[in-house]
Amino acid sequence: MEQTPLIEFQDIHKIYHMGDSEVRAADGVSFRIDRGEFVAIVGQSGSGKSTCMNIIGCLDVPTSGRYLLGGTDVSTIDEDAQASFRNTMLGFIFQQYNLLPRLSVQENVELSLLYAKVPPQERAERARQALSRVGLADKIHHLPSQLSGGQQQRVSIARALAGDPSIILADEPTGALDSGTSREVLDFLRQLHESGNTIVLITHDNAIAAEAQRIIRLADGKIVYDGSAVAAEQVQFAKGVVS
Amino acid sequence: MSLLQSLRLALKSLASSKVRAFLTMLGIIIGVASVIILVSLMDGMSRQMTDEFSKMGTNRLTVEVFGMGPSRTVGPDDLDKLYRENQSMFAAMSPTVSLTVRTTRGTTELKSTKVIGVGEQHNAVDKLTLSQGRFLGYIDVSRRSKVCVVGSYVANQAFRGRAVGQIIKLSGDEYKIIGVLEKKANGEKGSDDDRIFVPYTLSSALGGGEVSSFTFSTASADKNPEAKSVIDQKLYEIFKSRDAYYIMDNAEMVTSINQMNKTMTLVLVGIAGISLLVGGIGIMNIMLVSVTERTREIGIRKSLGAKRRDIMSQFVIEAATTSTIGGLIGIALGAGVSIAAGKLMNMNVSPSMGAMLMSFSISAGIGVFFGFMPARRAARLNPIDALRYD
Repeated sequence: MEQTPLIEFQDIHKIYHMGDSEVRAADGVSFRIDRGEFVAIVGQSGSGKSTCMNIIGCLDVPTSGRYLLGGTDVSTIDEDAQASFRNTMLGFIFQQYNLLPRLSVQENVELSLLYAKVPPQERAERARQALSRVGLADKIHHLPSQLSGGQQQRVSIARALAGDPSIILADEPTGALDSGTSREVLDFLRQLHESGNTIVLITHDNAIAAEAQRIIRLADGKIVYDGSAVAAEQVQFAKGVVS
Repeated sequence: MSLLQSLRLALKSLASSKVRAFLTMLGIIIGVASVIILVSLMDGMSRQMTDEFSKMGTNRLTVEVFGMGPSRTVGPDDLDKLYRENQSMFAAMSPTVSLTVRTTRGTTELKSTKVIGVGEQHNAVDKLTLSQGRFLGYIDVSRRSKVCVVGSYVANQAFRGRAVGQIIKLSGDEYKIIGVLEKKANGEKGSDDDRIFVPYTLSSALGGGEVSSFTFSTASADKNPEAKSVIDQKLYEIFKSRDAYYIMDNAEMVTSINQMNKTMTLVLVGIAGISLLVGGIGIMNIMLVSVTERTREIGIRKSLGAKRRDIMSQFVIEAATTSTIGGLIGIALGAGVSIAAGKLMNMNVSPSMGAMLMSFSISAGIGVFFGFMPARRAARLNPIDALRYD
């Protein structure tokens, strides 16, 4: 019997109206992502990858089509229900880390647990565990501004982990980091994948996408490639040879 | 998120921008303080005025006769007759006339001392008690005896306390002191203790002219309206005009003073209330700025699963905390200034508890009310736009 996919896009369309013209940010996108996969969604700016990320992240709803998250159709739910799904199913890692500057590292990591109404002691415990997984157990009382960029990104990874989400959604997680720290973050994502987490990585950078198992390449709101990362590299290489 | 957490968050957020928080609160502080100061001072003033009247007694009517031409006048005999005919409602009656005379004791002149011509019941009417001797009697008044009763200040100042039997000169005539009054006011120069009472029948001898003022005390204050109408009827019969006399009812005065003070308080509190309103608008303004500034924070919180009501309550509680803290500071300030002003004006002022409670709840309410609109705006932000906001 086939397993229910974690994420299933069925002919997703997203149309924005800008003045008189309409922009088809997603134009009939369909794919499935199973539990335990490490997928990179790649594309240039304007390719529709951000739109897909917003829809996967329950930050936005499609104009048409169905989005099944863990078997539930979430394409027509209201804002508060979306918030619940974000809270329980999704862990976000952003390019700009998006930590709250006035809260300590621990308080930042506790945020999603706070909204999940986890009692204070358990919250603190889970936050500390998540922080020690990213190697920042000694920094729990620091403010984000007292940490380096790489450390801040690790805090945001800990925050994504603390809620024990089904999917980790990383939006250009290395975009603001130098190559050394980028490497660290990517290695960490790979480790998470190896320990069973489902990871969706959104990036414009093919080299970073190559870290994933599987690549979904978008252009003009349509999928132009969906397959293994190794094969994708060969395609890229072949293109390079031809041109 | 629990209320306690929201409160902690709000306090943290306020603490991170203290100057701004204080300036935001200032409107509320000034509003609350002025409401409390005004109400407390008006209360004190009102109490002082009613105290003054209660000291005189509310069961008191004062009749001033202005007269209408030389032919129709009312003298002490007419009102004395009226008093005797209506013993059920009147307790006492005394004609009263202020005299301008030179008061001397030996070679020293008592310049501040007031000399008043009164009837033998004046001690009852004016609630006077004697510390030594006796008050003026019927015989003294009817026979125009040159006797007097002096206040405690006069007795202490001119006679070192032993005044009874001594002589004081009024306009050169010798008057024998037959009684000394108990201290009634503060015992100082020019106060109600610096007075000399003589029989009113000596008024013309002392250059005082006709007696035109009469003080009645009624059996009790609730007899005042009845007594007033009896006097009014009598005087109207004589003068056929209400312009020729005036009857003041102390109980009525107390009521009308209280009424007036209440109205004044309302007007003043209304004006002070406007500053509370302005303070509330200030809070709304700052909260709107704050929502804009913290758009990204709102986006982050939403991406982590904050629902609309979580964001909403965060901002409403922050606004309410601001205004409540402002209210508390305002209460402290208002109470302090009220007490200080009371001391400065020599008035018995205690900060009005009612005004404190009222302004506290109003200021908390203002926060909720004026925080609502910005909070709703925050709660309705689209998470994607909020996350991308710079």
